[in-house]
Amino acid sequence: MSGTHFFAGGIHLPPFDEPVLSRAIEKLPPPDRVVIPLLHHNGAAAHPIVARGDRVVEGQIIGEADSPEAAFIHASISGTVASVASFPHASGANVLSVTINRNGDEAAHAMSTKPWRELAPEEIIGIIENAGIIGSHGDLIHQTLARTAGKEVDTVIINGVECEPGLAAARRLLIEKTEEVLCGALITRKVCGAHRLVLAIGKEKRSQAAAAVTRLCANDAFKEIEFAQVAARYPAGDPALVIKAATGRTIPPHGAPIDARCVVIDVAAALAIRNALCDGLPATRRLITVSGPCITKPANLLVPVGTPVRLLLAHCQADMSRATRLIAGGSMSGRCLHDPDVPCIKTWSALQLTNAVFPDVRMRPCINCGHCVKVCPRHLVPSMIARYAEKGDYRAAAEWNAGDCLECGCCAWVCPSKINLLHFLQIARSMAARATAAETGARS
Amino acid sequence: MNDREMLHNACAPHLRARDSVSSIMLTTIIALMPTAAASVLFFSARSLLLILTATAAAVLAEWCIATFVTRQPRALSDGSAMVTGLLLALTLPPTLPPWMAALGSIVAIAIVKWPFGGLGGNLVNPALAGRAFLMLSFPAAMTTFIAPVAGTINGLADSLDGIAAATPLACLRHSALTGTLEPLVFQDAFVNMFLGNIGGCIGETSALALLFGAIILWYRQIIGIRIPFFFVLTVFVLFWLFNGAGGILTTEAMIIPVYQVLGGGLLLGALFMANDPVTSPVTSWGKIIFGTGCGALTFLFRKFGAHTEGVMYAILLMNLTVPLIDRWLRPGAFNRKKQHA
Repeated sequence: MSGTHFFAGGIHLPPFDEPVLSRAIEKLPPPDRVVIPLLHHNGAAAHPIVARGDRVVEGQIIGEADSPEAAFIHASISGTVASVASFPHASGANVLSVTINRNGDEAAHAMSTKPWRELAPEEIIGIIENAGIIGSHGDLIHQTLARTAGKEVDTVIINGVECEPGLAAARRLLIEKTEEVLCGALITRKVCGAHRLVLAIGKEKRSQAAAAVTRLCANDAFKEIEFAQVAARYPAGDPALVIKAATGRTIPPHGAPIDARCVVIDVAAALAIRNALCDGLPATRRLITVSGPCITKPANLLVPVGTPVRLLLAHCQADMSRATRLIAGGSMSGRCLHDPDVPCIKTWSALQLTNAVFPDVRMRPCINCGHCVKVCPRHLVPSMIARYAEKGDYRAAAEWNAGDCLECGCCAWVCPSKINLLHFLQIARSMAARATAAETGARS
Repeated sequence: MNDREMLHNACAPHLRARDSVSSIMLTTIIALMPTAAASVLFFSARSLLLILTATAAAVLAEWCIATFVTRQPRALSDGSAMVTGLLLALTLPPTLPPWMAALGSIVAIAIVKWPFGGLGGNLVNPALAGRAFLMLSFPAAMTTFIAPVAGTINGLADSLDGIAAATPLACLRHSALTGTLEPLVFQDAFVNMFLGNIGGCIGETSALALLFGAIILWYRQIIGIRIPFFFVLTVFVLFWLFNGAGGILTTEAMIIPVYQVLGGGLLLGALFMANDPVTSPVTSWGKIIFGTGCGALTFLFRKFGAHTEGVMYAILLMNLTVPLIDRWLRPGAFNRKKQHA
């Protein structure tokens, strides 16, 4: 194993080894009803092909991707479609969703499978597309892989780094489903035609994940897999930093991993790819770590997509009386959920219930201390960008490279004036993106 | 159970670091305590009186403005006024009448800080600007120095002819001008200068206490090393190269820069004034340029100016360049070559 890779910026978050890491993956008892949104990522919604009263089987397609920006959506339990209607979604908006009432436990509908080594890359990509696999960052995996066609890609990186407090799903998968994940990695490498396969993991003391992988890599089948250890600092899991650690290459501004001749796939996606190719199972399950100060029994739950969050909380004995924030994702960059009835979606890997209220947080003027500059992994000046964004001068904010923001939240974490820098940077970034889009639109 | 009403909807991140503006100011005050204690040790109750008057006046001025003018009573709780008053007091000579110290504090808070928007808005360091005001208004009182309780004003065992009442820097300049720089005599003063047993402003004499306080701040990651390091380094190197005593390898040539670093307000200025976050650049390169600029200006003022001191004006001038430095040195974004605005 090579040495640890460090990066400039970032922060060291104290509670790193969560007790939830030691909890084995647990299957949530099948819910009586799921609500499956037809949109799970930053793209277009799928087109529903079922109607009220239809019987569906687990694994059956219920939403068809009729645009390249959409993903296939499958039923995650067998039962009857109760409605196809707008429903509260994790994004805060209402999204067209299919509600399925469970009745009977029919066997899952599996796609037919062939040994993946005999398939052509295009066929594999087609299977991945039909399985509706979406990465943790909301990227369509089949699109990412299809873009590699005709381009030189020499490295596939499986991103097993998670560095936010409260997240354990990726490491848990590496510990318990090591072989499946590595198999998914090999499939991805074959599709991309890359010769290197790197597994990036976070640096930890006595890492069980590293031990599990090392054990398996002694096998001949997985011999060629390399490791890259990334310093256990937040946000080490950022693809750009992982690429830097694994290959030493950097992504050009506004570029994608492919510009650095890399493809980055997260652990859960690698597992989903393997399940689709080897077992014919579409992406209808998601491993979600449920933890936080208000969770009595933290757990790593394997849940059907569309399960209401409330069921997960009840299973983990959440103490709702003390809870203040229900967060989808990690404590640093996760998003607050407004309603515990929203369904789980395909991109989640954590759910946290905290009692954070910040009674002492009072915003004060910026004292120009430069701490945000020091911690920014993208070498921005968050204080300056926030100042422009606050005044509404988005052009100036864009000139200060607001568009390169990673939205990791390190600046807001460290700010002694407790300015919500992340909020301003998000605004500045989206406005910068809008301006760029308008400019390119005007030019063409 | 209606838990919709209990859940907050807030922007990420859902964790925050412990440090706040108030805790930073409190730590700064704690870090200045060794210096304050040393000043009382060397200049007796006079310095205690100055510290208390200046601090009280600053806090009072802040309270009046926050309560009656800007109506933000919360501003008082950040503790920045206390830091300003304390820092100002430490830059005053021990014999200064306390009312002048109070006046300096009021100018610092009411004229330098609040009209520009209060904490975070001021262009120049309020404590130093208050001192500059006193320097211009009461030049005689501001440049009258006395010997510490148990020592001589210039740290030398035997007073030299004609410069008995001069601080180490004045002593050095006089000797250099008259060609009576005697290495052995001057070397004797090094220990006194390091400990602070010399004449000067109450907080600037003890290098030991200042360094101790700075280490506290550095350990708590409140100040960085760049500004003070390049400030002191520039002063040292320039005085070494242009020592006026001929040659750069002679004993005299080494004594002069050491005197320039330890004998005046350089360490207080470099560690606590130039490092003030509000009036220093945010980027690493900006800090290096700022520190070097402060050092170069200090050299020019001390070498060619009418006064033996120059740290104050050097920092005030460089403070004014900070917005320019910050804009000019906009860091290149991730993986991008540096761009200049």
